[in-house]
Amino acid sequence: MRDEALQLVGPGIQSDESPGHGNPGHRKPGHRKPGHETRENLGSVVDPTFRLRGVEKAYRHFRLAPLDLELESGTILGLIGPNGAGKSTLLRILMGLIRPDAGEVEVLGRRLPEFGREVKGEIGFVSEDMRLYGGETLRWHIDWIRTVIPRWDESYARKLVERFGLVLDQKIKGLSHGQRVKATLLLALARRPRLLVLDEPTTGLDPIVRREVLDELLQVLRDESRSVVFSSHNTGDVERISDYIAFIDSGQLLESDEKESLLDRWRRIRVRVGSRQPVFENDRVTLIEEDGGLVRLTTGSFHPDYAGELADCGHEVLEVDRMSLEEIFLSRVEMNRQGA
Amino acid sequence: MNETSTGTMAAASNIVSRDQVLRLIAKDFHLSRKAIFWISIGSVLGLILAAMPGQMAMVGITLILNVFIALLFYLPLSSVLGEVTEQTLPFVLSLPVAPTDYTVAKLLSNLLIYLIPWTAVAVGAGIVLRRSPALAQQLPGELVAIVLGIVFVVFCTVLSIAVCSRSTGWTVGLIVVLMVVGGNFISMILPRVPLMRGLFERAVAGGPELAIILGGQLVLALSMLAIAVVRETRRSSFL
Repeated sequence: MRDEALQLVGPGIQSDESPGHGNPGHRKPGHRKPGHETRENLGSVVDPTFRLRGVEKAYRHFRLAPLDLELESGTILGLIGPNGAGKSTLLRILMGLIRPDAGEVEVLGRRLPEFGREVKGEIGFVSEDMRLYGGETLRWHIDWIRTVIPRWDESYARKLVERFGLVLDQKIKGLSHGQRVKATLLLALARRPRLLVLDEPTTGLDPIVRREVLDELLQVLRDESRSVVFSSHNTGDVERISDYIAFIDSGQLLESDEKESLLDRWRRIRVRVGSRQPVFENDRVTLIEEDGGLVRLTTGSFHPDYAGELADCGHEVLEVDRMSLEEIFLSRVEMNRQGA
Repeated sequence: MNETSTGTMAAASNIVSRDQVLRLIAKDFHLSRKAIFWISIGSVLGLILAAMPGQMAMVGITLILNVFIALLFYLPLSSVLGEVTEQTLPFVLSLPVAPTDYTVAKLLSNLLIYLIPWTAVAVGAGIVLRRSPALAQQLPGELVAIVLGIVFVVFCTVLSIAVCSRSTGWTVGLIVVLMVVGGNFISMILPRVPLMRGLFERAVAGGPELAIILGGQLVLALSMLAIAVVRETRRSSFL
């Protein structure tokens, strides 16, 4: 696996797989490409929202590989992965709801699980499998949660009720799925959390309601300084909302970077192969698909001189296409599964 | 943060938060309010009927027994396992409550609800037996106390298993095993063991053995609840 991406970090997020954790093809620091900032270059994020170090968790049929991850305050991290990739496990570790087998978890400056109660007082958590009490009204939920959360913001809650178009005295079981998601979001947001953890909150919503929920979420987050971790297997949702992107598959953190940097780095290039060899002995190429005399290259390390370098090797560059986040994600997962 | 302060605060955090436990109990009482209402009605009605002469007394006792049996199923299934099956557990655990707060609150709230009919029966039975010496001769108060103790132990065991296993199958299976196997063991096997038979007869006759049996039942019941708390503190995945 070419995993220099695991070493790549944006200004706010860091991830790597520690050497010796059994990650095949792990590139040593000396092999990193110029121009890519590394953990060593950046040092640790000062006062991160959370910091995971060497965190791992094993179940009978699933293993979250040792991972390091940090998030700078005030940023939104989109966590993308297929079903069963380990997104929920990772987020539940951040919530202190799952204790890792090894490694250290620090959230909002305090260690978990020791300070779980205190940390959860400053986190808003919404997950796809979270339900409210069906026989109770939204008003009851607000009244009860207000007694549990000291920093509950009642006026903000009322604003959100209005913005989300909810009815306080309607029983939860009478709400549509979209309204239930909005109600759950309201109960998380009005806690005024410093960190908002959203585990696939848009799953199961129809496209219209999903857009509505995301619009509301963006609106709500616009003026906020809180950090957000947003997981989804829907790349479109993550692309809309996130500052940073992380890909996860089969319990491994594959790549993480600033969204724009990630989109800039990945290209699909169509090339007519020249006579001079070697053809693509280039560590920037991640996937090669042949189609007669044409070759389609996918690279996660594109730079402006790259096409020129191919031409110098005698290849004719026909097209250089930007890739959508979904295409990048699929390529990265395919690469991982091929053991590239 | 240095190691000392980390350790101190960690220790503080592991202690059960009384305030959060009380809030969680209040929530459980609110969510079970209809059940509590009907349990209270059933218990009081059963006691009134049990105090009546003739066949009505049997109707009253049957009603009380049914309340006990219904609660044995209802409370663990609705209040404990319901949080899992209805997927409300992630919501509760997303709040600033430690898993130990949740477990202690769940045990206490269910115990308190169960003690409503239990206390009603205990107090009511005492009153009825005191007023009816003839009945007291056939059904000594000591025997009623031992039976109530057994019921209490069974409930605590079922509650503990429900909290630990979070499984409807395990919980219902245990209830059935306790009622069939445990019931037959107590009524048919134990009386054949001379030591137990002697202990039981002396206890029913009002001897000091009664205190030993009741004390043993209390220790057993509390041990069951303690096992649930210890098991939950060692759980590594709470969802």
